[in-house]
Amino acid sequence: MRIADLIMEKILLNRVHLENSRSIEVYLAHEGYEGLKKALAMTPKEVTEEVKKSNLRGRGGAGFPAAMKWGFAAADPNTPKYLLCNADEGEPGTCKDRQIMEGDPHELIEGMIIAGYAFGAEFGYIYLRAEYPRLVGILETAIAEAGEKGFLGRGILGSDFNFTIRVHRGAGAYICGEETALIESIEGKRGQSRIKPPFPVNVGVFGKPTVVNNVETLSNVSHILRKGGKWFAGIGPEKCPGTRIVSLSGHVERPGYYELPMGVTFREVIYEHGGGIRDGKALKAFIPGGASAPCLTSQHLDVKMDYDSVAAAGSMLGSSALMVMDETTCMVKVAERLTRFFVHESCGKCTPCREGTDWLLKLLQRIEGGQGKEGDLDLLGEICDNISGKTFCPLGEGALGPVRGTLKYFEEEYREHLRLKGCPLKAGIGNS
Amino acid sequence: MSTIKITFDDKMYETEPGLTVIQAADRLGVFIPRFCYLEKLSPLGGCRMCLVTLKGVPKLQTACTTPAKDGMEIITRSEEIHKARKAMLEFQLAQHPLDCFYCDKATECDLQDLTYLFADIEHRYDFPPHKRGTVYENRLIERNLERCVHCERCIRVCGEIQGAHAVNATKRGRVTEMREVPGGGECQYCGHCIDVCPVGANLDRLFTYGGRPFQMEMGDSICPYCGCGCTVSLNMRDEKLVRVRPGVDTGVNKGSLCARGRFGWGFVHDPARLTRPLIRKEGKFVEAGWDETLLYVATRLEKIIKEKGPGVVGGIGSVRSTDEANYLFQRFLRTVIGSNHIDSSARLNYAAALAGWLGTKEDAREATFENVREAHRVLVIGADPLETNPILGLAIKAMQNRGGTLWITDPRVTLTTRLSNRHFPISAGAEVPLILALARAGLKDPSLSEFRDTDLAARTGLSSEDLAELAAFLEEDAAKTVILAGRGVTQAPFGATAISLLLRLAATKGASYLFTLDKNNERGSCEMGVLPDRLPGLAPLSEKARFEKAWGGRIPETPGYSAYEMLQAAREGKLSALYIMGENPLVDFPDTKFVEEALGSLDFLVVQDLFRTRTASMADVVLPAASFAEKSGSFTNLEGRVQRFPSLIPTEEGVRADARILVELSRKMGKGFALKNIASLRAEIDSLVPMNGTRRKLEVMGPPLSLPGAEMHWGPGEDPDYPYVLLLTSSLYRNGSMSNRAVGLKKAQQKACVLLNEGDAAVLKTGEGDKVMLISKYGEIQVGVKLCHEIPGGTLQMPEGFSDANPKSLLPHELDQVSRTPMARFVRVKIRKI
Repeated sequence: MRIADLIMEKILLNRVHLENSRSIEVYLAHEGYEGLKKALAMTPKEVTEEVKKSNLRGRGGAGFPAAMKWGFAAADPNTPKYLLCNADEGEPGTCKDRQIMEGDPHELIEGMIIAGYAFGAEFGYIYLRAEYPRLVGILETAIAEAGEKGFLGRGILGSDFNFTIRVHRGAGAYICGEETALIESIEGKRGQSRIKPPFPVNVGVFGKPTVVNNVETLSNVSHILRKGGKWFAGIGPEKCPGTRIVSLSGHVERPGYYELPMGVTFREVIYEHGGGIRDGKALKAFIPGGASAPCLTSQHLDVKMDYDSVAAAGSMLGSSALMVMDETTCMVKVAERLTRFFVHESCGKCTPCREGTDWLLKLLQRIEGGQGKEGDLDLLGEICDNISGKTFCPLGEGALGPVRGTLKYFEEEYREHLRLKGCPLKAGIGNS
Repeated sequence: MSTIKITFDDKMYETEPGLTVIQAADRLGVFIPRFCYLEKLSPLGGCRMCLVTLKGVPKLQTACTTPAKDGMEIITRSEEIHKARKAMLEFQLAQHPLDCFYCDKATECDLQDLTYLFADIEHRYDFPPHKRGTVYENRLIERNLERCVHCERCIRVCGEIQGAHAVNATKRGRVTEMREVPGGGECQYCGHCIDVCPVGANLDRLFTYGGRPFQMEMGDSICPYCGCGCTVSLNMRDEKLVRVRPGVDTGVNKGSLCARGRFGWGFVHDPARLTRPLIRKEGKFVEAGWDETLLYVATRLEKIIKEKGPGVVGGIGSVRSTDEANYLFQRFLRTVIGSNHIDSSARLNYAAALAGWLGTKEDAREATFENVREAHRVLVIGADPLETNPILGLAIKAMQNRGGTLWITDPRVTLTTRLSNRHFPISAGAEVPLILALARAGLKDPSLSEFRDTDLAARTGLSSEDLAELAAFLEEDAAKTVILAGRGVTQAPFGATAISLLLRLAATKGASYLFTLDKNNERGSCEMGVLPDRLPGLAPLSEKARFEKAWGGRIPETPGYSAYEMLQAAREGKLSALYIMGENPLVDFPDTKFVEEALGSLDFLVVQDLFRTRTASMADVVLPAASFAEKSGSFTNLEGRVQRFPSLIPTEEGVRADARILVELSRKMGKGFALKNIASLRAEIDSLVPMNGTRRKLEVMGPPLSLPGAEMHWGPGEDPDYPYVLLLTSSLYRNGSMSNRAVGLKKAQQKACVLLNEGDAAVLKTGEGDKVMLISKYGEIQVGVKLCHEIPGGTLQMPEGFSDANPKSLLPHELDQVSRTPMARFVRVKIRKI
């Protein structure tokens, strides 16, 4: 048994350790679909109010209040309405949604049905990351099971509410995790972000009101309905309650996924749950929320893990993918590797992201390779400024996180690369 | 209309609501740079050049995606904005190959212009650029991947306006490439992606290194191909055409062109152009001077008239030539020769529509392109505008983009049926019973009572429900409904009657109508009196007195022969001489064998043309004529719009414009026209046929048209010896001898092919690309096979207009008794494998 399991009662992952946890029988034996039954006894508006009371914020990264989105979509007279579950989990280092879908798919499905009921959607799509092929069968089996038991389909549990769910496989583009690009992709188009406004809640997939929620967000919904919004609001910080599944990776003793209440400190996550830095080395930096979050350092270990606290520390919580780096890590290499990801994933639609990230990468490769020129650091900064605030969608802005974060805290390490004409952390360079 | 107040750089403006910031700025003359924004396309927001500041909004915003709202304060010039735009330019230039020296877009390039404007751009990118080269997957459009600025204009124009979806983005990020994608749409060679490209990424392969703009002269003309009458900008270098582009958002085409318009100009400078008159002497053509030749023609014609009278001379005017030349042609025939035997290949289509129009008492509204664009519903009967009149096709697409609905009834599978929201696949030759059924439903006319709905339904091959739906389609929203009819109706027996019924239906319901016309001046040649029974302005022969007065000669009283009647008369020895101006009946008329025999029976044949066509090869005298680019005049488009154009290229020595040839010949025959120049010719025409705006005032009527008998049946019938029904189609890439000599169109499609159902192909043991012989009772041709799963078994489809395989030689030439138009939509054939 892992330490995390001893510390608190889990919400999202409280069934995944059970035998046959995916099956609907096990799910039903552990309070499964109780939330849905309760929801169907309420009006859709009451359901939305209950979730509003819980103060559930989106777990995709932006932290937008979930119930507010539902309210917007419900208010639009256009029909049919669509619920899209964003299961494109593409942020490097993130593996939280996968645990839910793999271990407890009905938790997600129940949440989707309730959400659909709340804002009047009859159709739901799970937009599944292409790299999760095994989950297609798991989800489709669960959807079929739910249908057989009358939780999906026409007249759910004797009500006049109809809801169906389809699994749509992505084609392998990071940008499709952005909600409008995801919508384009479901429509069969090239994954590129759309102009906003109009917002998806009014003009979304197939031109209809659409809510896009993350897997983790939706998976909380059945619990909120079952135990009440007030209960949920009482977990963790007031502004951002609930738990978070942290995907912990990097140089820690026990990498893995941990469901923890919002508001725990990074020190606790890394040193208690993660067992500290591996091989007794010292912490150099950590990235608190996926590839696009600027890195933080040991001075930030006591920052609380919630959206607002992390933002105040100059980074972002994003998908709660916590990547830890020890003292042997070259931060220029880190920036280079992460920027390479963004260059590969830039869709190419807007100039600053397409051209700027490519340029950043070449400069980083040059510096890391020992061919950096005087002025390259200023140029890095200026290119970041020229990209910042001018890109079409958040991808370009996100691509700046690794460069800006490492430049902010490790400028000296960059300078050393220039001075030594190579990486000081590589054997042989800088030792003479 | 209410207006909104917005402020640009502290200056207040009033403008219409519903615009984006960049649209408002463009209308008000406020400069905002851009690469991806283009008024006619949906906004992209990709290039980020149009960044502006909205007061109260912290981040810069793109002007192309921001709606302009009342009270908005916009800053377009500030240090921050300048820096941001400069940064975007530096990004664009980072890996742009600076190969302007040999880029065809140089000096017409937005990237050059904006860089020049910003001037102080640093070029700090010091890495080798991605080498991605140029792709030549498109036969007419070069795609230079390195010069691309990723504005996606080509993708949007191809999808949104052309509806072809042939260009798309492949790969992503920095290495995104705009190119033809396997499994994407098929390029229709409109070349619109070339025009909208802000840089030299999409280029005209016919133009490559054709010249710099300052080395070229440019002038607007009217496209010589179809009845749309698009405005084309001819680009000449050293008095030779090097490129054709659409007029800048002018004309009926509003900046669009089709493959023929843009890439079909090659015939103008084709080495096969005739440059010397030819006289047949002892069976062989001999070059001769103009004086000598015209004198020879005059002498021969005078001799024939003297011996047999003027009634043995006929003339075929031109659906290709100008209104002015056609006017002179019929005046020449009528007053100099003294014959009403005047017709043109408009007989194959527009003349029948005209008979229907003349025979209709009700006044139906004729639609314009604009009406089609703004319509809510379009019903197409027996036409394929996407192939025959592509720019009208674009108007239909635009209508659909605005939410409109296209329904079509056609036995064939065509580009238009594929585009339609609903296709009613009627039986071959069923257009007339279909219209009878619609007329019965929509007109409470007792004279239609002898028809039975179930009979008509059975003949159309549609269910009664389908027919009821079609009838209901015309009942609703009629003011925004346009009916389009084409050769499927005009080339059917009682086609003129059917047209008349359609016009009555349109008039009764309040819908408007339009005819698709394949040739550029079908309408103009008819309106100029190139008809056996009508004078200019479609005046009946009973009004001949005022024309005689104007022309100073006598006009015969009785109507002359129509085209096929002339050919029949020639076979019977009743017609001895024929003067053909700019037509090629041996290729363009159905029943080639019949036409050939008729022409062979003549004593004297004069052909005036650009080329030594098959018809010209049979002539006694061939007169080399000028192309549209070398003469001035007007064409009348399918809406009836009379469009003038200037002569832009000097004629080669030895080539003369049609009008000049006719004037000189009239002099040689001693009855010279007193015309000084084109202006005096126009004045004469205007005095006889007054204009009403851009159209001619035509206040004429014809005899009412008789209805077919209830037992009337027209279709391919059954014939076990000829088991297949060949349906004729039109092709975007060919419609006659000019297109067959245009290198661009030959590149777009080399050869004609026959579409064959896959099941039939299996039975015949033939496959894609195999050659087969199509044999009808009237002729045989060899053609390559293309498999098609959409067309029903037992049916073949083949385009007209290709010189390598002409399905018209398979057709009969049975004439409709009313319009005297040959019925030429289908024929029964058998297939022999070669």
